[in-house]
Amino acid sequence: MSTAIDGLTTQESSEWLPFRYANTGDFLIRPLFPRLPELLTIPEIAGRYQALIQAASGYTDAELDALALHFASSPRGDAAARKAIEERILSEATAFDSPGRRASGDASPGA
Amino acid sequence: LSVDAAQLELLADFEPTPLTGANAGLVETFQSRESSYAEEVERYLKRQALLESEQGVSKTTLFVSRARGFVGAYATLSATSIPTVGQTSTVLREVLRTEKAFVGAVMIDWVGVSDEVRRTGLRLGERRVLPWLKAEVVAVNRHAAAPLIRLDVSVGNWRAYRTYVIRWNFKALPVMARDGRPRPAPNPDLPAPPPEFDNRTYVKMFLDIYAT
Repeated sequence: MSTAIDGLTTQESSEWLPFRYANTGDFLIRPLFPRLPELLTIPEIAGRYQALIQAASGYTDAELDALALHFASSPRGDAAARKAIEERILSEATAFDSPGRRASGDASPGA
Repeated sequence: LSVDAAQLELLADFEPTPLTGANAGLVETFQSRESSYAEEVERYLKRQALLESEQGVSKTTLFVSRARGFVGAYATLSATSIPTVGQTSTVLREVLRTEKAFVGAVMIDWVGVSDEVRRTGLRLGERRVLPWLKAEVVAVNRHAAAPLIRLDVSVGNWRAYRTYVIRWNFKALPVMARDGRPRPAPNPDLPAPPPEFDNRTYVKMFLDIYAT
């Protein structure tokens, strides 16, 4: 997993090593590489990194296309809509808080 | 949420409780054996969940009946990310208007409802676990952006797949078919998984909290 990528030191490339997700086959990649924005402007490096990341993360083009379509139609840029959605979600969850739970405070179930 | 008062009372009886060494004995009250997939869910809870929680690899929350002291459901969560780079990076990154290489997400590693609770038709997963989970993700997003909830399910675990799409409102991404080509996710209205997919193939699914 420590194969150096052309133009980068082994240490730099190793910062992108994927961590396999134990139960799902998914991968988590540490987004710690500070030079990424700069490097992705260089086509040959960007291509290599994109291929590496995509292969490691296990997402296909079709999956990413579907995500892009989803994001294009989501209201995420609308602050008021987001706030309303958050409030609705929180109110649904609160609906299941029993009177007993509220009375006990339940500030820290694990404490 | 179209539940009557009696159901609401039953649902509220299940208290989200972090799994710790102090309450680990509760996992023995959880039984899920209606299929090989269900058996895996029970096995994980009893053999691995506490260890992973203590290691910080994942966190498991039990839904414990206050009245009867048994585990009716559980969910195991961790953080993951979805890349915005790849051959389609231009599209995805332009849509998101970001230079970030990833979108953060909360991963459902495991989720399960006990056989006993499932047979009651209470729909504890949909009505209690999912609203709790969404509220937890909203809380996370106050200070760390992770707007998606991710979930993988095997094509062969057809009943679960249908539940997540039809009732939980998860969106399924295209799936690689047996011929090596991606196809749109299986139609959940079908009575059984379509033959063009291998039952062992995972369908990647997500729920966008800002699009529900």
